[in-house]
Amino acid sequence: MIPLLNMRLSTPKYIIDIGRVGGLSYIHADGESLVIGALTKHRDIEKSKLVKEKCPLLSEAIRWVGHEQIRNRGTVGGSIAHGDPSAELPCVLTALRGEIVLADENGEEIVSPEEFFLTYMLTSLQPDQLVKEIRFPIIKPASGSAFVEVARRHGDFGLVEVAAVVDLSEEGSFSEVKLAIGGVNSIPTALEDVERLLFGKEPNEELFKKASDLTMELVEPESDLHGTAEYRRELSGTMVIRALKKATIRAQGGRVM
Amino acid sequence: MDGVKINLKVNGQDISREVDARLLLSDFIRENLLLTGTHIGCEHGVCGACTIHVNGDPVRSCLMLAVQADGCEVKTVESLIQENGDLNHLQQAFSDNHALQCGFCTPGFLMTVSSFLEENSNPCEAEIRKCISGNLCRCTGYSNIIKAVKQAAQTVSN
Amino acid sequence: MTKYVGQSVKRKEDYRLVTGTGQFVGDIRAANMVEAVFVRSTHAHAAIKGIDISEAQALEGVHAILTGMDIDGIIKPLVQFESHCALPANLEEAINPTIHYCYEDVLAKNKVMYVGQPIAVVVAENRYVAEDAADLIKVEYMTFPVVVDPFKSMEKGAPLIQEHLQNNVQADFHVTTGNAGQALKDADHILKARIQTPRVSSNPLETRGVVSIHENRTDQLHVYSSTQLPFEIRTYIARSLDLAEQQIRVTAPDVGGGFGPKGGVHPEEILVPYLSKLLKRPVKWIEDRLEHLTSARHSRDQIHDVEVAYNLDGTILGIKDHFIIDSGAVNYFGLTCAYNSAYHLRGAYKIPNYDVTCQIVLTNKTPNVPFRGAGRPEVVFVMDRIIDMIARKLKKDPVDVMRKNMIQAEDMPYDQGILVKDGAKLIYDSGDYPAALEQGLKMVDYEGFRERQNELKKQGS
Repeated sequence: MIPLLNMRLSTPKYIIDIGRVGGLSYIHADGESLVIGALTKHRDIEKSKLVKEKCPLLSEAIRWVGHEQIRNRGTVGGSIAHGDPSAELPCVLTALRGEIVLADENGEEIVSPEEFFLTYMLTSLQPDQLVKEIRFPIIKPASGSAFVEVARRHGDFGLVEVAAVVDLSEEGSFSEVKLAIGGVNSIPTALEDVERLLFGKEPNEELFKKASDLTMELVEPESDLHGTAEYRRELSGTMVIRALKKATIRAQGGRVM
Repeated sequence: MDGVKINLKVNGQDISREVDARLLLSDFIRENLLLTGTHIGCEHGVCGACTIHVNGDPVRSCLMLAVQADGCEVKTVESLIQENGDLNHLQQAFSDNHALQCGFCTPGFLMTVSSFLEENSNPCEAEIRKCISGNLCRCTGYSNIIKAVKQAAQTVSN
Repeated sequence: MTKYVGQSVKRKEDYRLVTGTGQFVGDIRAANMVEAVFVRSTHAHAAIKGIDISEAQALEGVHAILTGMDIDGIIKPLVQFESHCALPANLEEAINPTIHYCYEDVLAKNKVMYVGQPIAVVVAENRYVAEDAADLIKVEYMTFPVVVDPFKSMEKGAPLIQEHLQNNVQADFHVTTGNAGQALKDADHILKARIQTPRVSSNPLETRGVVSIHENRTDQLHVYSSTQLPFEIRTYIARSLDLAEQQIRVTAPDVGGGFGPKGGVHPEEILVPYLSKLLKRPVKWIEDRLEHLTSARHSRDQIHDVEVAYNLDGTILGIKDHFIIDSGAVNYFGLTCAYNSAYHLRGAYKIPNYDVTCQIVLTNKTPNVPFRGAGRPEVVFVMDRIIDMIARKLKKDPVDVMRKNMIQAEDMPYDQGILVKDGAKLIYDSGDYPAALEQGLKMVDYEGFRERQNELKKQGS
């Protein structure tokens, strides 16, 4: 937000700093979810053993958020409320079908990422509401997950990023796939058609190629200074393959760098 | 513009001032406290020249309002020098390795690296590169900065 | 001599720079100092129909607002720098140049020629208030057709950038030695290629900035600027404001990187001193990064169309080059980059037939000035590309094409057959380039690299 003020792209009359509101910085596991208070700093998530254990996808993604100096100040609630379609945390939340807890003076409301993210930098958040908590579904130990991103420079906004979580059946075919992509549409997008395509099938190069082709059909990237629409489309396909491969190897019990 | 009273500790000294709510912490440090070692290169969190410590963590002072630092402990590049006026090990290492040319980005690097070295006493080159990835330098090409960080880490471990 | 040669000498400036006690222009303070902020064009080419400053003027803490009309007849426009544009008579005779006069008002008066061009300046108690006021200034534009492609800019009927000129070709010249036309006829092969070096902005970590203090008693200006050319600035402040140079002292304090954009005279370096004299208060202006990207000068932006005559064995017989420099809205530096490019292109190679024409073309872009290397890196790139392209055509290693064409140690002193910019003959006095090449190849383990490359190619990665 401060860059927008410094560049005078936004000149609000009042700013309410919620940085000192007590009790909004926490990370704990609660049944099916890892619940994180809106004022929890990125750096706290990065260092959290609980996050690493319960939601390794989030641990992997958080390192792509800006630089250390940014992560020391930036909060998870801020990243979500900002609604940047190329940001990492919205992409992870979308892949996991997580929840956003909004609060106003009358109480709380729980919304899905799909309901919350409307378009570039615009969310359903009302002026009298604040993001209170983010709930990231816990990833089962047997699942494999991966977060991959391409940025011009580490810490810059991602050109394309993909978050993937896969489960394998005893026969080795996909019993569940969660996949989301950021940076190519006006909001982070769950790739449901690709998930359906993969479901029940055995992971192999041919299948990944199909998933990649379908992804390239589904995304609607735009051109800007950092890359053309064609490049981003191509990259989307490549990144889906990379994320799926990495996640699959991890689900098979392998280690990838 | 209504003033807001803030109390904070800067380089060990208690400070109490009334500031505009919209004043950036970087401008507060430079214009109100006259600590001009903290430099401003981009004002949107990209270049790292304004890096300072707030409660021990390196942060961009151009992305914080002064009022947000109320009650905090702030350290700037001016805090690094030893009491007798000698350079500390990190400053000395930068000088020894020609890790600066124009010197404008240097305070930001020094503040980023000094907190990094507190947590990583024996970093490898990859870790050093990652540590400084949020700071831009246009003169040196970074190689000598990496050398300097290595030297500083060794000085501490010896 | 031996005391210093080959020794590392400790830098004197390090102590202050690592302790945060350096003195950059932004660190300079004076009692009663006020701050300036510029209103800049948001259009690349437009007439200024009107500027409404009433709301801004009414803002508390605002001390002055100036527009182009306020300084009309008081501050002279910036013109091309004579010291960089004057050519020795023998060079002029050899290359037969045309250089048209061009200029820029320090605050745009009737029209703007590029995005970022200063239109008005606000002086206020501090930068926050000055920016508030600048936001309240309303500029009414009537947009003109914009030309950003130099080839389109040269077409008949293209919008004129500098209105007093007949067309947008601001300068041209021709350099030749040997007979490139004949070489193109004689050669086994001809390579035709367009080779471009894009426009760049070098972005020193410290943006530009000016502080000016006027001393009433002696009517003297002390100007601090983050600059590479303090004396040039003194000259142009004196000319623009009708002062004697003795009335002006320009200090370049610690400068946070220059690389070229701090190597000219910018409108702000004239206006801030004028304001300090006008207001009788020290005035400070510090550029922000957005301003730097648009208003601080850019560089490179050359387009070379080359025809190269070469034989099957890789020998280059001759080069014919026609190149364009997209100079943006103003060319302040005459043939500085252009002629540097022309006489350095062949570098370490023996290419006796050489023919170059250059056109410097105006467009609706930020003015183009010399950056590091000033026209030389551009042509080093062009020459390297020529070598690579020939090697690829002949299926040879580029290094073999280099070896084939290099000036040999026994050729020294070697006369390139043309003149240097100062009018002297371009004669290489000494050197063993082939030996230097071989040493370099060894240092980077060139052969090893090629072997690894072939292995990886076989793996398909």
